[in-house]
Amino acid sequence: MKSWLKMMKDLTIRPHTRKIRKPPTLPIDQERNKPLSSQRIREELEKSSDIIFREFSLRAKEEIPCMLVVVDGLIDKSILDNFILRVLMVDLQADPDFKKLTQKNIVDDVLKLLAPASEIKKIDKMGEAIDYILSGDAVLFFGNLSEALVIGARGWASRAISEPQTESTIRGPKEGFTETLRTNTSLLRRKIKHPSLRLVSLKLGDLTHTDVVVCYIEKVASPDVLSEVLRRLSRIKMDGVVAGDSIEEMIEDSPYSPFPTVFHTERPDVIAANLLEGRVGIMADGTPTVLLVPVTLAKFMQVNEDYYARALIMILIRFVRYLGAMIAVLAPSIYIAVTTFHQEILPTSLALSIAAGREGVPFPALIEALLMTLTLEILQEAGLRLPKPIGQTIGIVGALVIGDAAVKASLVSPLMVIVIGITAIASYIIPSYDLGIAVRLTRFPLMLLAGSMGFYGVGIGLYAGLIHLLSIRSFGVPYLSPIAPLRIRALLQDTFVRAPWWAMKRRPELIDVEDPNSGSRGTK
Amino acid sequence: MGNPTLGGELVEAKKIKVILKRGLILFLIFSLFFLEGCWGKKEVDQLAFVIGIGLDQGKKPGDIIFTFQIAQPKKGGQSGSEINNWILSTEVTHAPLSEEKVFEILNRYPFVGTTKILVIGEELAKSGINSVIDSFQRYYQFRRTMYMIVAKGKAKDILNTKLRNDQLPALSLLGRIEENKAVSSFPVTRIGHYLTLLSREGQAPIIPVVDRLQPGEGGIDYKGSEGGEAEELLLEGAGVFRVGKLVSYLTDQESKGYLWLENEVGTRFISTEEMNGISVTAKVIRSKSNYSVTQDEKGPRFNYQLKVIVAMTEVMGSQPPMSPEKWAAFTGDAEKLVAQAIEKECQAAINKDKEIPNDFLGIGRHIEQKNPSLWKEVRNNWEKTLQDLPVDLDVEVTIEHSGVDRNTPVSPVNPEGTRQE
Amino acid sequence: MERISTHQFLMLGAGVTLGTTFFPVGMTVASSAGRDGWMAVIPAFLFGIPFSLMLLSLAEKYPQKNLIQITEQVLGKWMGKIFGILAILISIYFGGLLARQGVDMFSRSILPLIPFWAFLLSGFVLVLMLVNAGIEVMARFCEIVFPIVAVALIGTALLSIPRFEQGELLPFLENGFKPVLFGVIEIIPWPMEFVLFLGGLLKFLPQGQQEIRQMRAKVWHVLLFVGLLNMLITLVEIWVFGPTEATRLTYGLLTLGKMIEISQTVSGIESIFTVIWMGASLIKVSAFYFLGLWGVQTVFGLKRGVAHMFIIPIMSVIPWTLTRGADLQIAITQADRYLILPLALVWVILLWGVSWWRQRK
Repeated sequence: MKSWLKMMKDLTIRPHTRKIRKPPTLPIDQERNKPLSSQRIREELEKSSDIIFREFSLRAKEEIPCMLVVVDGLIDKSILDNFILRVLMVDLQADPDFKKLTQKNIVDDVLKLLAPASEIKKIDKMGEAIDYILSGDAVLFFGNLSEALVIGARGWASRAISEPQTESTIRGPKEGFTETLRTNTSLLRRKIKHPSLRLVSLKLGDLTHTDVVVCYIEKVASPDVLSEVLRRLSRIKMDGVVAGDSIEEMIEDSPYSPFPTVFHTERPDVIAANLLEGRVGIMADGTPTVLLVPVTLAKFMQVNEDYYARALIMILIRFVRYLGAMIAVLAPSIYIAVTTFHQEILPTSLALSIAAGREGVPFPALIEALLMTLTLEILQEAGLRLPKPIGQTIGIVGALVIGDAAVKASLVSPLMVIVIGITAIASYIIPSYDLGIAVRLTRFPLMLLAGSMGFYGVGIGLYAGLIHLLSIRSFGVPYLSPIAPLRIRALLQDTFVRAPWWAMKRRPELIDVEDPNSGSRGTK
Repeated sequence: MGNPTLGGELVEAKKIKVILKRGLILFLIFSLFFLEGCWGKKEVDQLAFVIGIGLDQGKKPGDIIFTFQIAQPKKGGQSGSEINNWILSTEVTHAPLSEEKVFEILNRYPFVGTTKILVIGEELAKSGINSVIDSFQRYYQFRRTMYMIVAKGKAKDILNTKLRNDQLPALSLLGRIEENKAVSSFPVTRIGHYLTLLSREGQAPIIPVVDRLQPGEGGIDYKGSEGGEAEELLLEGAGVFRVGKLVSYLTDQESKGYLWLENEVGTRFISTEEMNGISVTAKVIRSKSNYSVTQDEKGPRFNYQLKVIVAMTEVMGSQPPMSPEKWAAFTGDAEKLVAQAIEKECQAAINKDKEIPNDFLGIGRHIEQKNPSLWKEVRNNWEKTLQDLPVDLDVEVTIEHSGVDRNTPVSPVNPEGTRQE
Repeated sequence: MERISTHQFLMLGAGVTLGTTFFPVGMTVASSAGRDGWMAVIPAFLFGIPFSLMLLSLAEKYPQKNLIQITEQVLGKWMGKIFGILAILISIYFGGLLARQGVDMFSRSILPLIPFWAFLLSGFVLVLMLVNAGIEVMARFCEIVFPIVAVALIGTALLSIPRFEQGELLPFLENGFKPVLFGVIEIIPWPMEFVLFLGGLLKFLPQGQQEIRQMRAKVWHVLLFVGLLNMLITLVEIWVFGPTEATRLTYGLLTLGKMIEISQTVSGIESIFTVIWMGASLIKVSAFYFLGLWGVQTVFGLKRGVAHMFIIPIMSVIPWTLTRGADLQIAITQADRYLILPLALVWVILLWGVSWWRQRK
């Protein structure tokens, strides 16, 4: 019983406020700070078959046994062979000055002389050596010395840069992030070529040692947000961060709210644009998705396409998007409320049509709606897993044929099918998958409320949702900014309508940016 | 920007908050099961949509015959909603009891939110409707925008008329009333308007009258079926109510006069008398009436000013070809003719107003509006004062245009065969 | 320390002042002032301005304190406690009454058969959610909901134009100014409700000089705008129904909504309107709950959680004690007239007067 209570208590505390647990202790972790020894490295790593130990000797003044430790598959073998081994074993050996070196200062001398390697560093701790080896660098041990050299030689098979499937646009760049962190940071650097773009590295995950990079633009990003991000990240104690998306759950503000408070995207142009507005990005190795904080609800309804097409057109399209989102949430509930409690709203002929359609349907409107919505959810979820060629067909087949058959069998009324169809389509208008799921979830309680108390129930659901949204913050920024609290400039510039680029003279003060005035986007 | 959620340490107060929150959530989940009750929930197919209600006097004094005209959807069918006509009449002592009685026959719940028309039988109208009207505006489902009509004879008969196009009589009447601004031949009264007028001192409400029409009556002919039942409904004229009782009828002309004077004319046709062998028909484009109250040595005078803008739609009778100047002069004459025709209708209404003497034109109310101190003097004996009150009428007509023609079609040859001048 | 901005002050004030007054305003004013009743509305609301300004100047002198704390400082601890307890009791009582009123409207009209405990329970959950989230969230809530309510009211007024009875408003001032005066007196307690709420709100207001100046102006805006809205509604009701009918209709606005027909398709939008009424009612009840909460916290020094435990049972019981709609009307009018009005008048004038006199010395 007591442990049960403790578990409940644990569940309700926000992850980033939990007390720090002690990390799991594996034998190797205890040795991390011990000085290097090629022997110990060999002992630790030789059990895996993909780790290569290349031993060779350097003939300087004395014979120095060297060992190169690399992981097969993570290194670029051509660099290794041509530029490291060849230089060491062939070219340097031919250099007369080389003959004068002794084992004592071999490391420093090789460091200075091994010119072709651009990334090279001296290390002296076990932990560092293991990290570098397992990250794909080559570590060069010299005899019994407790210093070694790390040579950057990474190269592995990775996906080519392609357009992200879930975020395609008609206009605008079509590059997307890949799973390699360095590629991603390079893509970002190409968008923002100012030195104030800072990339701070950390390693997360006790067993995975995932590289995580926090990117921000100094003097634009809010220092409060930045420090909070770093603080929360540093408190993450997990065995593994397999995908960067799990970081989201560990750092978000409201784990129990269905609404997302962390934005993510796979496109460098989106990241760059958001960094310019003062947000902070979190990239993780192994995931093309990059997280962004802090965000408001409005951000989830925006598509980067909005910024590439012309303002006037995009205003209309945004309006349609918001309308679609409202329909996606409210349509079934309003249908239920109106047809069961408030029939006086219906124009007489419509009321007669609906009544005619419902003749013979065995279920009350609420059950009908619930059944149809559940079917819709099942179809949607199933459609995700089906292989592509079949997936499309099932979507159409499911909707039309099953719906039609259900109507003919008098299981549901035709108007219900229409309402559900419109709801389904409208829910796809929401650009963000997370928000879309939140919307789908909130539909159900609204329907139940509508079915039991009509418009009063819908009102209760809506107000409850509104109060909830108003009380959420994302890293300090209220979720429904800039509507409440009201920030007129941000509201006009970028929420429901978008001002043309030439009219956005100042940065929207969504987040307390340090330097709002210098963000002139207008024309000079 | 102090933010309480950034960096929280677990504090005692938060524990209570957390417990409260969790308790709330659990409670909400459980309460959802209770809220599944069906209070007041009605499915659409359980409803009988009442479009029109008829009220008649029952056999026993104080009883009312309630006639429900219900639109019933036909099941299935590709063409959406075809409706069947159901009519039921029940006799009850109080209006709302009719709903109860209907349940003894009907398996559906009579839904009166769609009621658009209230037809009141002549007998009931004469004995007083105010007491019956109460439930029609107290019960929430009824709308204050329902139209009221008085039936010549029994309301039941009107609603039971089998129209030639198979339409529900209530719907047919409704359609005509709603389009009334385009025709402006009978007044329109909603129940809200009636009630507001009821509380005014100087005005008696009027309600339009509907009657069943046999072929050949009233200048309208149609091919009726065998059996001689009337198959069309005629909306013409109005009934004047005094403290809820029908006291007299207005003829077609008088009710049209009422429309002019009370500024309720949209567009209509008006034809003039003959003068110099020519008579004109005009279509009203705009009409505005104003009134003023003046005092002279004999006492108060009331004055109506009517400004009407029309377009000529027909000139009957032949004329010689006219030059534009002559045409302008002719137009001036025509305007006078039209004004005379309008005056005739208005005068008929004014005369009737004085005669009854229930002030359905609302002259008393207008005096109250314009000259409250005068009204305070005359209000006590208003009806008598009205009979002697001089009411002037100024009608000003402007012919905006005369259609696509100027003068009438003209032949250069006389009827005798000689050339015309 | 929670804080609200000046704009949030405007919206919060407007939301709380408007509250649910727009429903009974037509009936109340028409019955006491007749045809010219609409003229009585704005003066009545403007009556609240001097009191609000007095409160603001007190806030300037005693920053970051709510009215009870200021009273303790100026008039002594016991006076502070007495006023505080009065304020608590009255707010909780009135909050309960208003909760019942909110439910009453639904029962009379569109959802007559739902048992009123269901309404109360669900409504109360919302109130608790809002109060729990704090005054900042409440201010943001008003920022969103108040404009919607205002738009709905103006929209209803405009859409009722086809239903106007010509010349119904004439003659003006038929019986002189006296009826208008009666009307004003009838409504005066309403802005006083705002004054009381302001008393509790003082703690959370911004402190800067410029902001205080802005707030002085905003107080005018609040009372003027709310007065304007209510006047509009009263005007429309009298214009459509005539004074006698307007007096009879308990919820005139609802009937107005029912009469709206937009091109013969959409009619009966009153159901949508009731959702908006719910929001306004929520704001009002939460405002009084807040007042009670602040009072309990200040006077008894209780922590939030315990304070809640104190208020909830009382507030939930009160709506139960009145089962008849007619009794409710009387209770509200009496509470307004004999509890809120005197408390606000006496408290503010006394406090400000004494403080000003002391300063002069």
